[in-house]
Amino acid sequence: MVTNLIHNFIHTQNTPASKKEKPKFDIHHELKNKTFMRPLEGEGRLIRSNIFDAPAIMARSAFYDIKALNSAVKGEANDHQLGKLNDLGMKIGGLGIAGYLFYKRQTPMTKLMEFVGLGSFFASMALWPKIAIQIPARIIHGFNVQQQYEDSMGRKKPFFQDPQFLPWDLYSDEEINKIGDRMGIPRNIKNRREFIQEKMKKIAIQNNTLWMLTAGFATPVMSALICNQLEKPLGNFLSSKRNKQNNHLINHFKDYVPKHNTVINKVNKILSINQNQPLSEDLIKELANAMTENLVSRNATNNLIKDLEKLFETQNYVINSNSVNAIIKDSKKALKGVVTDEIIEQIVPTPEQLTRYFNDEKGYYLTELTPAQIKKIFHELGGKIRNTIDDYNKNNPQNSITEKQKSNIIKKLISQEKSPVMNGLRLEQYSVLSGNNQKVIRKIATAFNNLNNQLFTVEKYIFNQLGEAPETIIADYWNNTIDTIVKAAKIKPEQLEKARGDRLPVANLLKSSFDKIASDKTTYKAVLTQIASQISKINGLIKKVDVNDDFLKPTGTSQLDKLLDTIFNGFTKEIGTIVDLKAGEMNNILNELAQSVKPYSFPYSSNGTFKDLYKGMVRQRLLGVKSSFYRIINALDLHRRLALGDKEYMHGLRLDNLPRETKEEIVDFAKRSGISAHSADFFTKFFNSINADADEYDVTDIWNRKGYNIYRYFDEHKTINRIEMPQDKTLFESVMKLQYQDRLLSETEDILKPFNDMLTEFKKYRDDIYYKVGNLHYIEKIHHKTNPDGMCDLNDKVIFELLGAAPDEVFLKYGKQTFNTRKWLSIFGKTGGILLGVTVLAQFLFGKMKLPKPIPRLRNPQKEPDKEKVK
Amino acid sequence: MILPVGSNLNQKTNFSADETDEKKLKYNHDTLLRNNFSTRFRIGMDKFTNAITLYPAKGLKGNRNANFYEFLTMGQVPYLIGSGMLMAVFNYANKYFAPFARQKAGPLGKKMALGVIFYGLAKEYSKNLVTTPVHWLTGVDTNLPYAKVNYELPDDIYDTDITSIEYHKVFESVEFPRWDLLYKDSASGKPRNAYYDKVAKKLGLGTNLKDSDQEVKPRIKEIVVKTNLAQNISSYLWAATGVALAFQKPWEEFFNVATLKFWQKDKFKQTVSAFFKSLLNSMESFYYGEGSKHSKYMGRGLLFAALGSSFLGVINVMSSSQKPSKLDSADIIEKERKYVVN
Repeated sequence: MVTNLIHNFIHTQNTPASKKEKPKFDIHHELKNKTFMRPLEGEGRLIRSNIFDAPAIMARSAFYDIKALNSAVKGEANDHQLGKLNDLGMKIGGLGIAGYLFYKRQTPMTKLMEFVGLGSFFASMALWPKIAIQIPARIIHGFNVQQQYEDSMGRKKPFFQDPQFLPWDLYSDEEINKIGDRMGIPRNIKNRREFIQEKMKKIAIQNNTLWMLTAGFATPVMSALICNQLEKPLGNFLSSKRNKQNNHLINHFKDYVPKHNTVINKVNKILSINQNQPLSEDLIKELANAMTENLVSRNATNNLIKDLEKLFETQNYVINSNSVNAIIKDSKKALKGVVTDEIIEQIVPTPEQLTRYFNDEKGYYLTELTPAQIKKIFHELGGKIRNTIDDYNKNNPQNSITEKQKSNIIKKLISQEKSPVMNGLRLEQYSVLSGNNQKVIRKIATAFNNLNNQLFTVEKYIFNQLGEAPETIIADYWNNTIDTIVKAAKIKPEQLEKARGDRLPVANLLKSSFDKIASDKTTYKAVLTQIASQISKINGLIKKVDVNDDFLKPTGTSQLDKLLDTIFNGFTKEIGTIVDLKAGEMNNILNELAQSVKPYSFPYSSNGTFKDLYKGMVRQRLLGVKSSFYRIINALDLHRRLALGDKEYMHGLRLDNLPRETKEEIVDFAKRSGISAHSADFFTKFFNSINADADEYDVTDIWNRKGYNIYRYFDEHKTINRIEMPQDKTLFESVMKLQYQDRLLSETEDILKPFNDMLTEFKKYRDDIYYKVGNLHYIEKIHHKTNPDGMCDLNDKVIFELLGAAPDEVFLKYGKQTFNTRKWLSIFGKTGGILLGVTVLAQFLFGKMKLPKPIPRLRNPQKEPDKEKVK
Repeated sequence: MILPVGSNLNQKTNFSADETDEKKLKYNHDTLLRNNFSTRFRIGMDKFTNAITLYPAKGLKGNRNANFYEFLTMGQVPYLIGSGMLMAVFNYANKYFAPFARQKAGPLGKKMALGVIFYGLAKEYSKNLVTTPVHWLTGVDTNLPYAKVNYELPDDIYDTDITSIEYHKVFESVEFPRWDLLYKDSASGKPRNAYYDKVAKKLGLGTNLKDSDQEVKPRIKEIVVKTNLAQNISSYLWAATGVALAFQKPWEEFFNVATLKFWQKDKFKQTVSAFFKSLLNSMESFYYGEGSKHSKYMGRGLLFAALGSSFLGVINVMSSSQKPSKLDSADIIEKERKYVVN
């Protein structure tokens, strides 16, 4: 039938336009009428997310993993869910490793780094394909080779995962054409979409392969580099957190004291198994050990043993198995010959009978008995013996004991003070662990327990602040200060690396660097300001009100000292409630631990009480660190004074009297000793090579040119005509005066003034070194070591603390560490860089395909029907 | 065998399989393989050599036949290279360090390297703690391999080698297991459902079932899912235990004498003996802890977590949520209820 177009047109004009109804969807109708049955519309979509969606994606992914786990436990999971569980297993295993190593590591930073390492490893696995593959590919080829899509079931998958199954329908024509344009594919080619798809597929396969080949190299390197870069910021973060915690701890000490019952539990255990046992030497030793186990004080245990022995010393007696056996054995022996053996056996009780008598009948067994009670028991026993003889006679009339025999028995056994019975009763003289004694011991144990808990917190505080370990406040401060000095002095890492083999090249490097700084006023000011600013931070990190060296600038009793006094006074007071302190009870242990026999003096830990050891240790650590850095400031000041050549600041050189060559030797040695000298060098008053035949007539001054000392005679490398001079008075005196007695430069004072107490402390430090270490007549003697405070206020320890660490050694160590880090970084940083470069460059070669021939333009449209013929 | 379809009609390509060619192939159809050491070794070597040679070459060229199997097989490349790299990151730079620093860094780096090895070994072999008991108890070998003959598109008109062999596992996909390979053919002389009969018997569903395959398939799926779950979780916990074991101090004694120069007989013998001695001491130190008591608890915690995950995994596999089919189907189906057959 031919369609009548005009009729249709008229019909549309006459029919009123009706509102188009929504098609009704009836499932039953659809099911009955199978011709309409067709696959449901796909609901897949390409996932387009950015970094801001990451939290939502992560949350959804975690939820999906939990759901997958739940399904898998029930045995209902699908392939996609099982794949996710592999990732979950990997994360759980990773956490297991990090968790285990967390407990193996010692410091917070190393502990944290275990988890940072795990996180960075997973991050690297995820980031490498994004940085090295996805982003470059997008820039080069114009599409995302790691595009993800969500299928109709809501499962997220990589689009190009399986090149044999690519759901191209998710890309619209517009998107594909846009990608094609970006790839430079001509618009007019045959099957343009298919060609673009083929090209995209090829590029994706190539990129996925590249990913597989490079990920193994990249992930560990990238992860290690991330950790390396995070170490410093994390260190700073932890350090600041630790500092806040410590400040809080010292001000809220009681809140931090743990409630451990370690000592109480140990003592209770000992008491429970030794109830009513004699307080023997061994038992007292055991108890004392338990109470002092956590105290590092060397003699605490011995002193407590002495005190406990004294405390439980007694005049009382105890009847025990030894007493019983002695009474029986000696009685039998005494009666030998008085009566027959048969009668002895009959009238002398067995150990069991006698024990039963003392224990069950009388209650004397294993209790402390006063001498009066012993006498009473002795009389009771006399009566008992008489009754026993009478009973025997009643029962054995044929073989009875005669009156004479009876009288002899009484005489032998109970009529005299030294009879076998009395000897037996007085055999054992000691205290027993009775209820009362247990009570006393428990109270003493509680006092030790409280002391332990408080000291635990104090030790934690001291360790975190000043411990000789990584990551303490003082250690972080030390590292940061060395860093600052290196940067301020513009010492290049390469220079330190070259010099890292030995102290001498490091000392040369420092000397030349200090010379350079000192040669110019502006540089000197800038460098010293920077260094002083960092050094002064110590007083902010470890506040003087909390902990103080009490030497460079005493500021009264610090918080820590007050706290230690409170703890040890509290301990003494607690012990005082248990024993009679005035009678000297527990005197030994209290002297050992708590009582200050005399006020401590430099070097602080002198009188040896446990409390003062804590105080002394803190002061020494703090002073040692400060001295090390003040030494560097002093060295810079010396270099600057010498560079200026101003006689006002160089009296130590005795400018008018000494030969010029000697002056040059002294100047050079002063510079070197500031950088390198150890305490041993001060004991020997320095060994130095000098020219003994210096020109005495040339007493001119050392030349200065552009801020540098120019030597006329001295050459450090020239050893001819030089002799080794120990104990060289001139040299020692001059060097010490030049270094520590000559006035500070006003420039230096001006720089240090703004940093609160620094100038005062620094001046005190110089004075002390000069008067204590620069003492020409001081040669260490044995009594200085054994009784440092008694004979002299100076010993090797004082010198050591005041001199601090030699800068060349400090920078030698720093140089070695710098070299190690830089070497590692250079190897693996380069590896990572080269890998990234190769991975990116390789992508320019990907996706090469021959273009299909373009569709020829038809010049004569009328010839178009010919195509039909071709087909 | 299908030969390439040439676009050039003048080529007069023969559209038929060449019987003589087929005989040269190891497999000419998908073939179930025995799961024994020899097969596993052969498959492992095949996959490994392809993963480092053929597949990367195909992938880098963007070959249109590259597929997901090849991509997955290549997955072992980053594992192996990554392991080596991880060892290098912690050890390679040490040789440039000063002796003291080297001495400090050395044992840590070596423990790390040993940890990488133990991780791989523990992860791989711990799976047997789940799969072997499951196989014994249920008769289902979740690792049962088969060779899949894959037909590819020819690279060009001269390309006649268009088949490739892939090694898969029958239960690799729980949604589409290769049930067909488990039916016995008549040539074997066994009943068609012999495999399913055996599993049904092991699972306590009875013998001489009419349709043992239909009875057993849902149970097998459940077993495979649960076994995969147990493998995935437990293997990583065992791997973590391996790493923890490698971080024990006694290994340092082994590192002091260790050499790989097997031709130096005495030294190598000493290495082997030191290895086992250190292994024993490390196990002890791992279990009883080194230094802090936390490490003891963590060590035991990790060990028991790994043991527990394998054990509970097997228990979970055995506790089926599917009802055993002891009843006639007529009794199970409720006649009043509407069912949709799919």
